[in-house]
Amino acid sequence: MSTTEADRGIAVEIEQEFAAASDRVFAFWTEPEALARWFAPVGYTTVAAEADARPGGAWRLDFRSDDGRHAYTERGAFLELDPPHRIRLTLTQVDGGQSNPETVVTVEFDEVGTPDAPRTRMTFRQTGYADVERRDQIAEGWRGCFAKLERALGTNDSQQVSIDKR
Amino acid sequence: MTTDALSRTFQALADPTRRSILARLAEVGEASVAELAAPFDLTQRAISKHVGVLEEAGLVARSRDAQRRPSRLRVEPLTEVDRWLDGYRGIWDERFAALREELARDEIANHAEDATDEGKTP
Repeated sequence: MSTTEADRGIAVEIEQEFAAASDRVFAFWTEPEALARWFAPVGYTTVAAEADARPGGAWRLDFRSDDGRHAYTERGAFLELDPPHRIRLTLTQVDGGQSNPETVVTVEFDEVGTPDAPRTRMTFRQTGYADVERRDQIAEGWRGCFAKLERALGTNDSQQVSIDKR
Repeated sequence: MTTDALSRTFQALADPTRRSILARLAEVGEASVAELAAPFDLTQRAISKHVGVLEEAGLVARSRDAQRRPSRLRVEPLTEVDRWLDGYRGIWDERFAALREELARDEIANHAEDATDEGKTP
């Protein structure tokens, strides 16, 4: 993990709320059938899913574009599971035999609802991008993949670059 | 912004002391090297070197006139990093929208199951 720890200053952080109990939201991060239902990017379908949800256990999702022209994999390992509060895992994108550098995903789940109306606040954080950027060619590959997602600068107040004050 | 410029930004941000300097400048607006060095167990010379790296990466601008040459934060490279990260953020936003739908679908399925169970009760 040493290569990614150095870059923890740069992170994507997203906070979302879901109208479901935290154990149910948590399960969608650990069960292969559940992961397969939401993890594929728009325009892609999950064609195979594996997840061995215990510390050190591997996970893997194979995606195929709906036009059948592109297939790639995201895979990694579970680092920490504290159901239904917190999960940490590594995530690496593998495309055309090329492995991108490892990122680390940390997700925290907080119950914010009532027994009658369960609600979970999910806090997501992904680090390790700087490694990607240092490897220019690979970075360009990622850019290509995500080009369609690029948005105009400054349109969303929730978008921030975090700087650790350490 | 070119990949090279982004790499310089990432390299500048990879050091915790430099991130701390930037965080400080974001709070106080501007500060001299002596002022920036105060919270650290480092010489002014070492801090000056860090400020130099930040300046080269365009993350810090220093006044030419005043003798104390105060540094201030330049946000432009950070907004470029932000834009670059936006692609990653976008893919997760879409995923979480799908997750929301799937959780709702489960909720509906569970209720339908409950209703069926009730129907079976004599």
